[in-house]
Amino acid sequence: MRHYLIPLLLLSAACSAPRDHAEMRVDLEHAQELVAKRELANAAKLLERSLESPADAGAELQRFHAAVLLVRAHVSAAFGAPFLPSARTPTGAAWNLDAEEVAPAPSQVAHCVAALCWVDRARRWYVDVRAADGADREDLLPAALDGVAPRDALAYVQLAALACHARLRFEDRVEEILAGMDALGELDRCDALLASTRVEDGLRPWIYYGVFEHWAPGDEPRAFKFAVRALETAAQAGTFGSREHERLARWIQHDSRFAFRCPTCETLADPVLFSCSVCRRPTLEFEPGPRESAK
Amino acid sequence: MSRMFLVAAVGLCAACKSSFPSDSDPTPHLTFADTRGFPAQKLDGLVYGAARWDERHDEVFGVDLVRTADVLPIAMTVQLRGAGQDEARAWLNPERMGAELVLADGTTLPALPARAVAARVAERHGERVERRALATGLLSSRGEEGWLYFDLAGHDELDVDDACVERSVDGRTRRLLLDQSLVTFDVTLDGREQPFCVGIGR
Repeated sequence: MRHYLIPLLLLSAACSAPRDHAEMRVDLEHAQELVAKRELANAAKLLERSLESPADAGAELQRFHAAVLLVRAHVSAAFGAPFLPSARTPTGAAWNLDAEEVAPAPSQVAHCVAALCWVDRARRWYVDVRAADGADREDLLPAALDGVAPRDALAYVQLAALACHARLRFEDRVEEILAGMDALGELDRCDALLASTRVEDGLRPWIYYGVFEHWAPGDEPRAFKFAVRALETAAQAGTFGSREHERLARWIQHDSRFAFRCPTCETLADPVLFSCSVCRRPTLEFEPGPRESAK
Repeated sequence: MSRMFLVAAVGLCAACKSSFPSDSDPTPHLTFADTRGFPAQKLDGLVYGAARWDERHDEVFGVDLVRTADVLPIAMTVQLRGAGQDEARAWLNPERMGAELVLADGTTLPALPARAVAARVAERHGERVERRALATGLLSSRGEEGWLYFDLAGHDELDVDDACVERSVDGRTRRLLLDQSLVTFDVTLDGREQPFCVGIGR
């Protein structure tokens, strides 16, 4: 009879007890490994299931980092390898309009929406994390997350939200985020922030694009730097929108009041090239001048 | 003795189920009730769009489409605004606009043609469904409100209650507010498909 006891006790513990710190720690460690291996669907499923279970009252830090990892999983999918299905076919028609059975295409938008949901959750839980500051992090977080300050994790979450809102073209929301992040005003500080928060390559062009749109109406020389960086990172990541790409190229070549030229040889900026075609000077160092004198 | 364990096991399983969130006791973590929604109207280039959920849509159609037809009706306005609207060649192509509704957890619901929805209800109601569907074709600055119908039938674990879609995942219920959902579709502008999305108001 004792053979029944142990499974019954385990079943009881698994079903009714809140997830304790050790279990959540294991889930976080496993989920982070899955994100790193790009097994994003499995990571999201594990984290969502973990958060749906009753939580220990002292798990603020853990659930905050779980939400951050969920954001990371969904934005990595949105701007890399989406796994949530769309209701439309690759040709654009709603799939049940068609008599033929066609597999639905994965949806970038669905991942952006899901990521933004977890962004809000992480922001709210960040308040709890600050209130519970001083908890023994080693017992709560796997080693890889132990060194991540909640403030840096929150900065990552904000950047992910910026990229998603830029992708969905909710410009007001992009502006709200930019208003709270001074570091995004200067290109070098923005670069540093993206590096320190380990923003995925696929998000970067969208973040630079969002900042570009912020500066374009009032500070064109500054906007130019973000436009160039957006195009550079888009070329590396390959996840940028064609509409946004065209907007940046057209702005550099036609719509800006300025013509941007190489200070060495006066060659005009080319949105396809990221350094001067003559002297190889980086396009980021090009300087604004009056457009009417453009060659 | 073994019967005692059987009873204990059944009891434990029952306790296990009741400890999970249910409709009446959703886990606070996944109600998504306090997350911020998307703007329910948007101007993107020349295209303006607005979407809203109407809890009293049965007064419009004479029938509750959620309960009767497994369809979530959303009232939409799509029109052109701003300089250049008169010259723009923008239209909604019913074969290619691919409208879908994206719930807060990333679940997508496809739009159904009005005729397919009409077939799910009585004839007199079906006429209203077809008549009040969002007009497709060339867009202008005078776009009137019309309805898109999103299919709930493809997801047998979905239910709609009070501007909230409830989705059952692995035995747990998620409450996904329409406020935090998006309607997306493509507008054909100068011959090219351009994605558009907007949140859902009330």
